[in-house]
Amino acid sequence: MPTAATVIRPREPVAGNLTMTGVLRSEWTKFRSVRSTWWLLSTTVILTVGVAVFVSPGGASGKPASAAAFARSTEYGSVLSQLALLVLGVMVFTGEYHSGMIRASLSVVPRRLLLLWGKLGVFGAVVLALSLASSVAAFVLGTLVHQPHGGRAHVWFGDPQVTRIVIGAGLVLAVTGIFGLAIGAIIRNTAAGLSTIAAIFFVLPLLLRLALPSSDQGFLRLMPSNAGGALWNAALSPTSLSPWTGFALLCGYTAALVAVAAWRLRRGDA
Amino acid sequence: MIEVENLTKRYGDKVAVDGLTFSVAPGVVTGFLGPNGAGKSTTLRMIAALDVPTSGRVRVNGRDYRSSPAPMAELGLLLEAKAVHPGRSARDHLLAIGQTAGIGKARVNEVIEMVGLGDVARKRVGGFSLGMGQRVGIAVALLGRPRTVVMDEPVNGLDPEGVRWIRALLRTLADEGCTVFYSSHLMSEMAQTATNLIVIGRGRLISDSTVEQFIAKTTATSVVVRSPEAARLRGLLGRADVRIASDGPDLLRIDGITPEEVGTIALQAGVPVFDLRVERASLEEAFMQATHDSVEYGATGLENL
Repeated sequence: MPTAATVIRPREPVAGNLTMTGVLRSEWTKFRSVRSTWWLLSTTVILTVGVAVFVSPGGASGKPASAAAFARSTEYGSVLSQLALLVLGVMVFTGEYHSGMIRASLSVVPRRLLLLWGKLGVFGAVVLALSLASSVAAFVLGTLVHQPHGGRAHVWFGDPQVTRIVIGAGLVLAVTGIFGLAIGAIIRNTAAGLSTIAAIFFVLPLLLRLALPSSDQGFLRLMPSNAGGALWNAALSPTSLSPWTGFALLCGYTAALVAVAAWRLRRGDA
Repeated sequence: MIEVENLTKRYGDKVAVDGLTFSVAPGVVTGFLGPNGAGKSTTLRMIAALDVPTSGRVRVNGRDYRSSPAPMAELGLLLEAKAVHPGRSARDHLLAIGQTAGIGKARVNEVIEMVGLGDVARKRVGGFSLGMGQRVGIAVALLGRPRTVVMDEPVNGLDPEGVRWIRALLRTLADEGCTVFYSSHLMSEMAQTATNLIVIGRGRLISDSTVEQFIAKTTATSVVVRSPEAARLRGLLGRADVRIASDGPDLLRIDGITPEEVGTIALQAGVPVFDLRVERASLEEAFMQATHDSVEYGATGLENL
């Protein structure tokens, strides 16, 4: 039967304490070491910047474009890159569930919420930096390409609307990515997660718009996509929420989803 | 040290683990046996705090694993082969796991060499064979130099050289004072490696003893004698508590008697004996004997083959 431990040679410890910093480093290593990360991040940048450069804000009329129109071309690109970031966000968790890696990850991070905060921190920071940079780049390049005369652009950051739209597009993209991450953490399956995202952001708003009588469409502005869109929506439609209210609502949805993800991760089986 | 106390896990109506209590001591290799569906993997996942018990509790090195300040120094775990993103290299995988506990590239490289993945460490794991994937999992389990190592089917997919290697590895860990607990369905392999044995069936404890005790108490130990005068010897050994069977014209298989008694009786009667040995059942026979009532997914026979 069990005998007392006989230590032949002492085992020097190599593993230190589990720390938030350690988990953040680990998550960065995971994030950077998979190819799909770089494909989807490049797609985001290319879409945001590309659309702004190739879609002329002035249209065919040849008239000098307004500040809102310039910012709007940033918006078009952002709507597309939103999709890429949602996919990337969903896959942060579902990728680990799909391969079974999640059990290896959680077995070394038994305080499970650390894993959620680590993923959120790394993904959030990367996505925020990248979407702000690409949204600014989209606006700057778009303005330089499409301004009617050489020299300094006539629409620039001094315009408060421009600043709001350009910075706002970056913020909305980052929060949308985290929205996707939370959905992935809750649903745990890539295909189901992506379908859910597509339904919430693209299919449902469209169906509701078609199905509902126009008098009942006020609540469409409460959909996550429209709430976030309010911040970058240059030509505010009368039905839209005010920019920062809309953004706050998107943040609220996202926070609620993250809370559900935390609850699910913490109490259930891995 | 692993202590499992009244551990129960239910999935809806189905009870996977049913009031299991046992402990695994440091310094020896302990095997974990049970038929398919007996609840081995569920138990191992609960030990690692991956599955949440319906009731009961588990302690690893004296504490709840979830509250351990340095988890990687406490428990090394191998659950399934290739639980790795297929697009990631083995090196990045190990680095990501290790970084949670401040383990850096030097230790990662050391462990990669130790498990024999030095040549492929930078390749994507998606292209690895089952055996190579298994080595990645073993490397993860050893990375933090943990005090307790838990492995589910570590020899799965390994070649004979790999099987020998894992046997030596588990024994060395135990010799160094580690708690080593592993499951395997290769019983001849387990008989050679493990000292202690936990056997479960349908989620319940069937046996908790050494491998030898398990075999001895589950199956009869027979004395086999070969003699040209087998029939005469048979007559001499006739006793109420002794059962004798003939395995051949000059071969006797005797239960309920020691080889010393048989040898002495034969000598006194002048019966020549060419072979006198004790035949113990194998671990596999003992296992079949102990678990035949608790086989969850039994085949029904070969009549319809």
